[in-house]
Amino acid sequence: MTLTKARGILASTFLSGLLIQAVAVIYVYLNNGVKPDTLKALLIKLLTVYSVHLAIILGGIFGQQGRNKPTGLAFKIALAVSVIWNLLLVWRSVKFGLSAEDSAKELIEYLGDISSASAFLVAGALTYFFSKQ
Amino acid sequence: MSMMHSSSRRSALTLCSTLAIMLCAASAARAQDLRPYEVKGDNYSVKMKRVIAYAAPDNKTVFSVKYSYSFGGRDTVHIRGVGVVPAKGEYSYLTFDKEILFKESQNGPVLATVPVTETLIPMAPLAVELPKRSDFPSSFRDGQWLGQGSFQENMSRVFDKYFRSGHDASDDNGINYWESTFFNLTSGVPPTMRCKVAVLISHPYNSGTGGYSFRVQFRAYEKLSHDDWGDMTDATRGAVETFITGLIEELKTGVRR
Repeated sequence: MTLTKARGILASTFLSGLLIQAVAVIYVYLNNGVKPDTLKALLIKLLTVYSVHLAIILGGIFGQQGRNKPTGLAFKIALAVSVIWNLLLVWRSVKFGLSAEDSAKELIEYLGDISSASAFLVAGALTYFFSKQ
Repeated sequence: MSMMHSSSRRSALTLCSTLAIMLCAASAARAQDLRPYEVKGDNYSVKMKRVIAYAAPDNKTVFSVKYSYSFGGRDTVHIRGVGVVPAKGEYSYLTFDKEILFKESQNGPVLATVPVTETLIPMAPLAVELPKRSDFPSSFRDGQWLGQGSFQENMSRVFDKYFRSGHDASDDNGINYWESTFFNLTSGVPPTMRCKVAVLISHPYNSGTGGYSFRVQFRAYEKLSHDDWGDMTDATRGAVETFITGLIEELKTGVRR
């Protein structure tokens, strides 16, 4: 077991946990089980709960890698967190577009609050791949 | 071989002891089973069939009582919180009072005072969800008792039909108040929503020959299946008002719907 492999497994464990719970909560909302405010509160709570651990994990992966030669693990994790961050926002906008009835005000508030609460997911990865060397 | 026999015997003894201790604990965990009791006096008898204490909001204790009574030599009696009723009958309701008071009439002399003593003490504390009196809005709908016989008996039947967890009976300045626990309303409620309704019925108003009127105040809450309870909105208002209208009709006429 190499350090890289161990990091990959642990990072996948935490990211999977966050994704599964987010999907469960969104599923309840899509089936009219909770109000939009409750959905937002639940998602923000989830992100807050995971932020400390994922910050350590992501910081460990992106903060210590040599940028001249990024490892496969760094890219895979960056891709995973980028997908999760985008999915957290895209699903809500797609629902807005496809629903017969929705609220633009609610969508605006959701995008603002969730993007802020989940920024920690992608900050490290984007800095790693896009900042000047 | 003999060592194996003694160790397996020790294991069996340990297992039996453990089972015995568990059985003793289980029997000790049963509810304390007291007895119904009867209070007799001069030409009357009150049988307390059930008295169970429940935890109510604000750290209060409310008693679920069920009793039958019989007072000879008269047509009616007055029961505190219930009102003027036939001299013989049976009622069950929740009460915060430690005694049930029977009088000749609302302002008449006391006929009997029956203590409220528990007939069953469950090991696990029971709780009942009673809305606060202040939760009910001041607005009301009213009805006139048009049926035959005792309005209270009809009201008792209607309450037992819908509000299975019981209702609180009390009085204040000559007006009797029956406050229900919550009824889970499903008819007319969207399938993804839940709705609960409680009512506060007060009577008598405008007493006179031929009957009297009563007032119905109600409080309704709604929620989505996985969300918290909130005030009623337009999503459930129609269903609640239909339920209340039907309830008032049953209270007015005694006709079951």
